[in-house]
Amino acid sequence: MNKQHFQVTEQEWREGSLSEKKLELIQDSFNSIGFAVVSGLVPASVCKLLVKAFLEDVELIREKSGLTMHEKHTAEGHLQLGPRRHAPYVQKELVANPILESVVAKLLGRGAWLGFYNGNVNCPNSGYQPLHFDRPYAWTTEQAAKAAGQSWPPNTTTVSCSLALSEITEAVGATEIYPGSHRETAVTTWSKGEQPVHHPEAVAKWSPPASMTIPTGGVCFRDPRMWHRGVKNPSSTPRPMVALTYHSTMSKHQRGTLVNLLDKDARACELDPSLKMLDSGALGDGRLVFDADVKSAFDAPNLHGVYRNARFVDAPLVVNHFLDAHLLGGGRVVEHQPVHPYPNHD
Amino acid sequence: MPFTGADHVVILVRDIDQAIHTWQNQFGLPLSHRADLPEVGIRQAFFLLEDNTFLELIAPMGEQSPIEKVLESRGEGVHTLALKVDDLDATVEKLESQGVQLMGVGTPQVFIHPKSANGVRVQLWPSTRPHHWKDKPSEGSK
Repeated sequence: MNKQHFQVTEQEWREGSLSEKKLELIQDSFNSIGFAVVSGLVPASVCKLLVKAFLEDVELIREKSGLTMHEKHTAEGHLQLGPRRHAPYVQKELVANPILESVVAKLLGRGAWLGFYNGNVNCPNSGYQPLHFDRPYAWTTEQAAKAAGQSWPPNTTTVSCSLALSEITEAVGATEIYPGSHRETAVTTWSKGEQPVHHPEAVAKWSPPASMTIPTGGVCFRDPRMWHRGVKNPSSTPRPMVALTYHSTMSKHQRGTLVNLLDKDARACELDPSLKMLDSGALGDGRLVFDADVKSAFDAPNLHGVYRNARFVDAPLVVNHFLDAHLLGGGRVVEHQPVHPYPNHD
Repeated sequence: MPFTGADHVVILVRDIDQAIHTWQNQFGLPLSHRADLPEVGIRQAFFLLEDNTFLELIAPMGEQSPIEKVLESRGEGVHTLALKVDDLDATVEKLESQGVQLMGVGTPQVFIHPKSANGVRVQLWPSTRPHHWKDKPSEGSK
């Protein structure tokens, strides 16, 4: 077994947590190379259900002409697309999975919260995205990190969880990753918009790349600062993947960044974890939104202190999961059915 | 024929000093240069050969080294075989058209995936690309 790939035992399922020793190995892999994969976290039946829905949604998107905004900004054939937010597509094995939450709690600490419920699809004959990283460093100098009690390079305050709904290998365009590159502190000196492609010497430093291969139902826990990109899917089948993003409890902005809060606002956030700083700068409800018919999926016992961060809307309101951006955690409320792909996609 | 010759071979080892001893004292190769890259977590040793190709030994440096995980899972052995190409873009295009699995396409560092090359990671090395270590003062050499 590769040292970054882990299995779940029957006993661990019964206990609702990976063993402490295994969690420490996962943490070690995550900190050193930037990722760790745990197999068999989500049942095949749930994966199959979601794959069918994803493929139907891809068809709807492709019925519209032209590229999506995400494709225009990255590469053709790479769709930003999350799972549907209504029954039966939101399952407790995904949003309240005790093993997954045990890993998140180990990597981020208790109080970590779900900040993004989305995914992507790599379509046949897609292009190559620019090499990039998803998150900046939370602390951009060694002095600031040390003042906050962090090491240097600091650990991440965000974990991306990529669920493979079908086997993800190079044959279907597995994401290309640069193991260890999440520890490249030079990125803190780069100007806004600068990416690894502007620094070929840095790319050489963290080469060779690897492929983020994940078995069906497995989850790759990834440091979002690790350099990566979508690559060509050489197969004839779209490859969907679910992406859940968790943030540490110290991240008080709706998008998971660290912000300075007034003392009274910090106290309010401690008392009510649904409160987050919104893009407007005011505190508000920072929960992800789902249709009310999936509420029970979130009610499973919470063994690891991970905040599931969900609110629910009743008919006639519904959630449109076709959101081609990282707005509002990957979904928005609309007042009509059926939901349509990407209003900003023409 | 996309490849015009060998450029260098990278060998992953556990203990850089022990490996240097093997390649230098037992095999008689001249140690040309050593370097530690703590931020990347690797130690390097270079042996320049008479045909101007070279061997590069790499070993993990510290517990956070990415290649420590590779060592744990695959053990010591050939890490990368770098082959010279005259035109990187043309070679990439040709290999892709043949269904060869590549990595790093679009960056200066392009590799053939081991699955497409009998288990060996092959780097496409442009003939005109310099090796910066050759310009550095030698340290630890005989």
